[in-house]
Amino acid sequence: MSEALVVLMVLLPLLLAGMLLLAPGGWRQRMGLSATLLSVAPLPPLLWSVWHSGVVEVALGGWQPPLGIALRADGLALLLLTLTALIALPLGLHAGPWFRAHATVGGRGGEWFWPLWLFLWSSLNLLFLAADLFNAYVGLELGGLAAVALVALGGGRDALQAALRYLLLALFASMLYLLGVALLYGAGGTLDLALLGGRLESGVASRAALVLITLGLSLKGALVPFHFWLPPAHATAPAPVSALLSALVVKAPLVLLLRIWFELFVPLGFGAAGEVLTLLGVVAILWGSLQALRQQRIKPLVAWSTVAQLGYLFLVFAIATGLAWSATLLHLTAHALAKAALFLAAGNIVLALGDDRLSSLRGASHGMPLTFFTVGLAGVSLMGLPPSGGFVAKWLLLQAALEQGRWLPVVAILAGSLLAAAYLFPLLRHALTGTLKPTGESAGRSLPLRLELPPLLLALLALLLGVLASWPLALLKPAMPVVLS
Amino acid sequence: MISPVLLFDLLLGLSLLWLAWRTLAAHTLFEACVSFIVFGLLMALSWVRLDAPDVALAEAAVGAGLTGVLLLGALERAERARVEAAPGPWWRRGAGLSALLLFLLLAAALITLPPRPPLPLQEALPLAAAEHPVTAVLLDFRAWDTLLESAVLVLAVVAAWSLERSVSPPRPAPVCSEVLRSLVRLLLPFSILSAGYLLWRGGHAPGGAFQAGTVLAAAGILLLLSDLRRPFDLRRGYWPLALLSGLLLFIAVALGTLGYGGTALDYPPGGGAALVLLLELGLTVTIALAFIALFSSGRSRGDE
Repeated sequence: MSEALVVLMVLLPLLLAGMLLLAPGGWRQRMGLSATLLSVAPLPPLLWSVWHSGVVEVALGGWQPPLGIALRADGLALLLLTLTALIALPLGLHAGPWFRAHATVGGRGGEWFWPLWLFLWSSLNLLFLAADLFNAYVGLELGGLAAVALVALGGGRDALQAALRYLLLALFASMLYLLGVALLYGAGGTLDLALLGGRLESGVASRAALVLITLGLSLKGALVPFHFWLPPAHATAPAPVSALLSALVVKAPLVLLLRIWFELFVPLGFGAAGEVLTLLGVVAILWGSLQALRQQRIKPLVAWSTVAQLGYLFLVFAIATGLAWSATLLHLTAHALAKAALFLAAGNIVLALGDDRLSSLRGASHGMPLTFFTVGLAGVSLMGLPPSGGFVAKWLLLQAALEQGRWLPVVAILAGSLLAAAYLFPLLRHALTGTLKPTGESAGRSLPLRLELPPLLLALLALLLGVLASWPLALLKPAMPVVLS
Repeated sequence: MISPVLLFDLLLGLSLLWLAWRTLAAHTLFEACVSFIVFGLLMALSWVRLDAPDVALAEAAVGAGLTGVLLLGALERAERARVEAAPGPWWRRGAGLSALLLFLLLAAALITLPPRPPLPLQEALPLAAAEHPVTAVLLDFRAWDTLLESAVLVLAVVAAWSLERSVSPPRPAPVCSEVLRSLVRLLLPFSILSAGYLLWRGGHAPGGAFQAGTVLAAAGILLLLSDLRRPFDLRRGYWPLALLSGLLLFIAVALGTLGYGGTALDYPPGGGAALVLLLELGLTVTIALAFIALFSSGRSRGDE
C-alpha cells in the first residue's frame, strides 16, 4: 500500500500535467488548484506510514537494484515532500488570482503555469525519493527544463535572457553531474546509492567523480561563485515562480549533494574536501548579504538574500556532525517557507504599486497591511529571531559549530543574521513611514484577500516551525547518514 | 605494422578532433553548424566501432540529423533577427582551459578505472520482457527512467509552445522545389515502412522506439518543408493527445501494473512482450511528434 503511495507522489502530478495540457487554456487555470489538491493526496497516508513503521522502499518493475531502480522514502525525503506540499497549497491558492491580476496589466503565462508547475513538482518529488543516481539525473533534467520555461513566462527581454542563461547553465551542470555518475558506475558497477557505498574504493575515478558531481550540483544550487545566474532568473520570473525557485528548486540539487556526500564521499575518506565548500558557503553568506544591501529594487533584493541564505546550507560540509546535518535541513525548511512567503508578498507589492523600486514603497503599508505583516514575519525567520524556524535552525547550527570549535562558521552565522536585518529593514522602513505619493494610478490599489492570505500562511508556518521543530527533527533522526550518527 | 582497422580508428579519432576544432573556429555560424552535423555523423560511426549499434543509430538520427535541422532552423531565425554571437578572446581562452582540465581529469579517471565489474544483466535477461538487452534495459529493468524521459520530451515541447508568444519568430520563406516534392513523394511511404520495421525489430535486435520515432520525425519534417500538405498546428485538434500518447500510455501501464500486482511497471507474466510493444508504439508517436513540434514551433503561424 505505502509502496503505491511513493510511486503516486511522482506519477500523479505528471499525469495531471498531461491532462491539463489537453484542456483548453481557460480550463487549465480553473483546474490548476484542483490538480494541486489532488497531487497532495498520497502524502498524508505516506507520512503516517513512514512515521510509524519507518523507511518505505520500492523496487520499480519488480527488479531489485543493482539491476533495477529503487525509490526510497526515508525521513529526509518525507520532510522535503511535506515541505513541497506545504508550499504548493498556498501557492496554488495564490497563483490563480495572481496570474489573472497580472493579465490585466498585460502579463501572460497563466495558461502554461499550471502544467509546467506540475511537471516541476513531479521532478522535485522524484529527486527527493530517488535512490538511483541516474534516476536523479532524469529528475534534474525534468526539473531544470520546467524551471527554465517557468522563468521565461515572465516575458520580456530580461526574463528571456535570464531563462536562456539559466538553461545553458543547467545543461552544463547536468552534464558534469552525469559524467561523475558515469565514472561511479564504471568504478562500482551500480547506480544505486546505498549499494555503491559498499563497492567503491578510493581512487582517481572516485575522486574525479567527487569533483564533477560536487561542481555540477553546486552550480545548480547557486553556491558562490556559481551564483551569477540566480539573481536575474529569480528576480525576473513571475512572483509565484520566483517563490518556487527560491524555496524549492535550488534546494533539490543541494539535498542530492548532501546525500551523495555523506553516504558516499565521506565514508571514502574525502571529507576534508568539505572545507572548500564551507569556505565558499561563508563567502556566500557575506557576499550575498552585501549585494542584497546594495539593491534598490524589491525582487532583486529578495533574490540576493537567497544567495546568502543558501550559504548556510554549505556550512555542514566542514562541521560534519549529526547536529549540523539536522540543523542544515531545518534551516532549508525554514528558509523555504519564509522565502516563499517573502517572494509572494513581494509579488503582491509589485502588482499593487506597478513598480518595484524600494523608494516607491513609501507609505504603501496603508493599502496592504496584511502583505507587509507577512514581510515582517518572514523577515523574523530569515534574520533568525525567536521563536521562528530560522532561529532554531541557526541556534542548532551555531551549537554544532561551537562544539567542533569552528570559528569561521560561527562568525558567518552571526554576521549573516545582522546583515539580514540590515537588508530586510528597508522593505519595512519605507513602507511604514510617510504617506503614499498621490501620483500613479495603480498606486495603493487594494489587494484581494486571496492574494494576501497565502503568503501570510507561509510566513506563519515558518514561525510555527520554531515551536514545532521537534517534529521535523524526529523525522530526520532515523534518516541520518551512518557516518554522522 | 599498423593493421587497417587500427588505421581507420586513428583516422576517425583525428577527424573527430579536427571537426570539433572546425566547429569552434568557424568564421560563420553556418559553417559551424555544418561541421557539427558532420561531427555527429562521424560520432555515430565511432559508436559502431565501439560495438554500440543502438547508440550509433540514435546518434546519427538525433545527434546529427534532427539536431542539425533544429540548429539550421535556429540559425535562419537568428540571422533574421541579426543576432551577433561572438564571445570575447578571454571568454574563449577560459572555456578552452576548462575543457582541457575536464579532459585531463576524465582521462586520468578512465585510465585508472578497474576492469568492468560483471553486471547481473546476463542472468536476468531471460526473465525480461524483451530479448534485446538494450530494449530490456530501456523498457523493463529501467522502464521508470524511460517513462520520465518521455515526460522530458513532452515538457520540451510544452516549453517551446509556452515561449511562442514571447519570441514570435518570423516565418521563413518556403524552400520547396519540384525536386524536393518528388523526392518526398518517393521517400514518405518508405520512411513509414522502415519506421515500422525498426520498431518491431527493437524487441530482439538494435532498433526500437527512438530510432523509429526519429525516422518518422524526419519524414514529417520533409513533408512540412515540401509544402505538399497544408501546415498543421500541433496544438490543435487531436494532435496534443497524440503527442502525449507515449507518456500517458506509460503512466497508464505504470498505474495498471500498480493496481494489478502491487508493483509499478512489473509486467504480468506472459503479458510483458505485448505491453513493451504497446509502450514502444506510443513512444514512437511521441518522439516523432515532439521533434516535429520542436521544428515547426513558430512556423505554422502563417495561416492565423
